Amino acid sequence: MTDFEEIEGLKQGNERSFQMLLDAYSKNVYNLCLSILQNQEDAEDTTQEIFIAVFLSINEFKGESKLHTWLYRIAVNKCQECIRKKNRKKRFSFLNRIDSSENANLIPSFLHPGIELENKERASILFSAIARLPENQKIAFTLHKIEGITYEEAAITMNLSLSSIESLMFRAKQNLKKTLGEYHKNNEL
Amino acid sequence: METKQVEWFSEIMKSTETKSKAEIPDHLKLRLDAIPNEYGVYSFVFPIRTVYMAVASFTLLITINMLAIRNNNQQNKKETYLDSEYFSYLNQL
Repeated sequence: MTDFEEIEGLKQGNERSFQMLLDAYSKNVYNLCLSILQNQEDAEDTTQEIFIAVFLSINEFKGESKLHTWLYRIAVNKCQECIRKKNRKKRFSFLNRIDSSENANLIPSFLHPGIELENKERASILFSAIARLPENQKIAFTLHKIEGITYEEAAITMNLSLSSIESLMFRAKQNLKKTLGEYHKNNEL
Repeated sequence: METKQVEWFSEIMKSTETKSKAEIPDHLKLRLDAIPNEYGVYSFVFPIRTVYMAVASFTLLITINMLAIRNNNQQNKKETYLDSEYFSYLNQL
């Protein structure tokens, strides 16, 4: 089934078309959420929210971009909403503030289920460093380096220009180098 | 030392390159499969905020109408009283 037939079926509320959409993209969307949010529960809830949003707003899809790019754009927006909601909660929680100041030493905590056993420790350190990047750098880096999305697609997904993505990636790498360098120095690896 | 750090950094950056896609948990699959039934045309539910707003608007509208009617009645009564007094005075002449 082509993208076009799938969309037409979805617009008509066809359950089979929605099932086909889930089969084709749910795994990618879930993995994207998992990499950005670095929390399994949040990734699950956000994946569900994304597909509800897709189901309810498919009529707004005009076909100007590819279906999966549109889907990723919704996914990135929902992940950003989730991050902001969590940050807002943290800001108003005194205990969490103390907790985050204690965590300033980059403590690896997230284990991605798709990472090979031998790389788990190193990947966990990388994910902790990514988590400390500014929001846009974190998303651009995750889209390109972790999920393997091209710069062009990342630009469409994040609604930014290609040069902005390149600049975000450059700054993300610089920041990661700095954070990981400090970690390396502190832990005398 | 520097070379060691560079090598370590490069290993860290490469650690996600061989990452495979994580499988969707079964309970999430069930939640996703249920979306067309829960959010389909026939099971569309108005958000609770919209319902409250509609109820509040109706209540406000009814209250304004009742106040307007009461005000109008009072004014009519007053006018009738003044008219009758005026005309009765004329009758006396």
